[in-house]
Amino acid sequence: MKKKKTTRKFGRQGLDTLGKPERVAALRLLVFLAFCACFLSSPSIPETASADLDSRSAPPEKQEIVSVEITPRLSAKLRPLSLDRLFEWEGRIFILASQKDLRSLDRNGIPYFIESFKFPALAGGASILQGGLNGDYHSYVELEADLQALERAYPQIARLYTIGLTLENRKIYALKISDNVGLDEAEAEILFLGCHHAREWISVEVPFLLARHLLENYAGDPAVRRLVDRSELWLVPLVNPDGLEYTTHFYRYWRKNRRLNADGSFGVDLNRNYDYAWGFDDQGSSPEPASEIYRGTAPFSEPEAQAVRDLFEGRHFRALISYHSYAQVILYPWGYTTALTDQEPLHRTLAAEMSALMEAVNGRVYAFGPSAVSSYLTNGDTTDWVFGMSGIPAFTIELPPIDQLGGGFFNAEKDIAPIFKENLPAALFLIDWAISDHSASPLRSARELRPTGAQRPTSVRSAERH
Amino acid sequence: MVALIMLKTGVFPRFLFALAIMIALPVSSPAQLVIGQYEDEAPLRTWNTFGLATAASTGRGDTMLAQADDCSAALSNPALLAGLPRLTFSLNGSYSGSSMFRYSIINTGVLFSERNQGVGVWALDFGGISVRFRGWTVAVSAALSELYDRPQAYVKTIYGGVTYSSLQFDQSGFLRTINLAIARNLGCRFQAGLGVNFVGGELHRTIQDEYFQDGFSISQRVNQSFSGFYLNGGLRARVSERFDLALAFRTAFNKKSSGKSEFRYQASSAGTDIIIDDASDDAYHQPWAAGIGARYSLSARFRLFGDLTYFHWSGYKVDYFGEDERRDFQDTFKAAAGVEYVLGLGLFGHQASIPLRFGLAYDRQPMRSPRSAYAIFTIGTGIHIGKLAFDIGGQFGRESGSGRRLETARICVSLSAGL
Repeated sequence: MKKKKTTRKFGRQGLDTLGKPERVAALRLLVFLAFCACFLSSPSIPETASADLDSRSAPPEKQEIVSVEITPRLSAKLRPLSLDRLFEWEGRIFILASQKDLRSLDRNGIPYFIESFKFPALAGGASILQGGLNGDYHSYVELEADLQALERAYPQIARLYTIGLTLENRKIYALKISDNVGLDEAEAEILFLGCHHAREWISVEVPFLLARHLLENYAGDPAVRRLVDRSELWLVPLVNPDGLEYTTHFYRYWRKNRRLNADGSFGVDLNRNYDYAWGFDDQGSSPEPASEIYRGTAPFSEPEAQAVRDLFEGRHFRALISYHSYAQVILYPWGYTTALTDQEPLHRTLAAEMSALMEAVNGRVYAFGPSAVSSYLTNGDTTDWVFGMSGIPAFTIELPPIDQLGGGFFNAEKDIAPIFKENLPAALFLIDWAISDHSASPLRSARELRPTGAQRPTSVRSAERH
Repeated sequence: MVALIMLKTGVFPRFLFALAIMIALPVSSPAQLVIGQYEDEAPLRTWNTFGLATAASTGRGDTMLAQADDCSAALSNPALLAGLPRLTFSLNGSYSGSSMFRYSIINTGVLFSERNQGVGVWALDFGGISVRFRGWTVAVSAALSELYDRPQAYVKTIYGGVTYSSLQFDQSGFLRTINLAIARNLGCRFQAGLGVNFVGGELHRTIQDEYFQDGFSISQRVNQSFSGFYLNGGLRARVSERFDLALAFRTAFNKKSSGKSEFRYQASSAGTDIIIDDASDDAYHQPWAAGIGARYSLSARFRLFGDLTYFHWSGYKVDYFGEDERRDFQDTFKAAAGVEYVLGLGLFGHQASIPLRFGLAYDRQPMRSPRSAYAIFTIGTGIHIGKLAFDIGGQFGRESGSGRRLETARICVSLSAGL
């Protein structure tokens, strides 16, 4: 059982205005309530991939924490109501309210504010497990629980799939978000990937929080609802679970998966294992198993990359974002060569718009450009393969910090939310763009989208295979 | 109560790591991380700890369930206390060493070593006293029952004579058991005893990465303190004038852990200091164990001993910082046999005896894969003058199954006095 970390579950800014004894008391109360609420609202875990929508149990009734101003008039109105009063704070009384309670408040003309957003542990899909060795970052088990909780909380628009198993038999999860989530509709499909590289913990959080944002705001935000209704979003927040676990239990700066290579070294760089320009040269990837950028023995030799491949090839995606860290830059193909793609203007336009949207949130500037030009040579990476195979816009977003001395692969826990928030509008923008693109040409297949200037360098691949 | 002290030494090779690519290691296991013998919480030498072997029992192949040599019987079979002199003091000091190949960041992807690495620990690991009063024997003892030390690693990366980075790994820890036991003769054929055991200990692990030229460092620290409680007990039956049979058990228990962890990134030149920390109350659900022991006297001087101990490792569970850790363990056993021949002699006008001991043991480790077991060879001797006993015992174990031929060693010296 964990302890002490619970302060992270609550809005620090507000609680800091309380005196210390009050704050401690309030925190204890809130911890208790949040945990109780989570446990009380947990139905049984459904099968992930094969369950039928109709067979699922009804979603639990959503509870809200609301606050009501403490005035003589409102107190008198509240008194006869049987409500679950939590505590008083800054002239307001906080109440744990069911939907029935909310209707009761409405009927009695009692104005209230919904405060649930200040108590993430109460929100649907929120983790009761976070904490642990890696603090507020997700471990594999925590992410698994959170994704299952999201599916349980929003069964009509979220469905969890297992798209593959890792070398250490962990599941690779993909969460599909769409209206009529059980149906395969002719809508724009967008793929978000996280954590190809084990040490890039923040890259798990951004796609996960994106999923949570979409689900939690579907009912109340028309813009989100429109995007979800008109698209099929697939989110794979953790491509490399084995590696992530190794970083938390053994070595924080581990990068690759956990393949035991023939020479006794461990790991293949999953973002060098895709089958486009795989092994194009030894600069963009390495044939040495001990190298941090070891590309593996063959394209798609790794089950994690295979899982992404199988998901991708089974759908008709219109756009992709693969989250990494660090550098604060938006990259797009090519990575294996400094030559530009024939879709350079489109990529640049989309990246520029995303960068502007990101900067508008926190003022943090994300540079952008072709991967090989703006960053360094990479071959066999996700975005080259996705673009090379299908011609769709494919972006690698290197999350903050901007440099090694700013933290490198470390991000403070308090930076998770700001980094997500600045990435949110960019993700929403790309979803919106994909919907528009799909509407403009709904019948285009991935094959037809393949760029004319992006012929697969098969001679290189053949040479490597030998 | 005597204080228990430890001194970690470098008798086995240490600091011998190289950031090098291993060449053509045999790869037969599935491509997944199986630490095997040396998970972080694995005791040094063996998972199968049941009581504590002092010098005499160490010399007899770790047989201790049917023969009381000193107060350490309280930890293995408290019934045997009833057979000790009316007042008995016992002390034991030991050296415990083990070689290991795969543990923590060593040979799991970060640091590579072609050879097994070793660590050794000197410790005053047992002290106890027993008193018999009106037919009851009461004993109080303390033992250093498990050690968690690992071979340290310190690696520097040097380019052109300039140290670019360093990586350090260190782990140490122990589990101490305080035992209160009571025993009694039941008629002339039986002895029974029961003990309560309070365990406490700690484990510290540090990984420190320094990038001198780039100006930043990364560290990971885990500190755990342990506590727990369990019962142990046993019976000994005199089947005949020559043959004794004994049964002993230890209950399952939760080794509770209060842990703190910290990941830290520091770049002082940029003013960056990021800490991700946590505190957690967890538990290691230790398995119950039970054993049967026998002693057969061929003559007044020549005796045979045998122990068979079963460990319910399939019930082992680890809750580590709020998460269940996977350990693919199965029930296992340890079998031990020993002989003792006693030479008599006169020494400075006193009648003295010199026991000569020899033993063998087979110690199957609980991991399903890789299968791993130690074959252990032991010898021992001592000198007993009246009720004063000085013993020395040693054992050497060689592992098979992992392909790494791991080794263990233990040398004990004990002193016991009875009145």
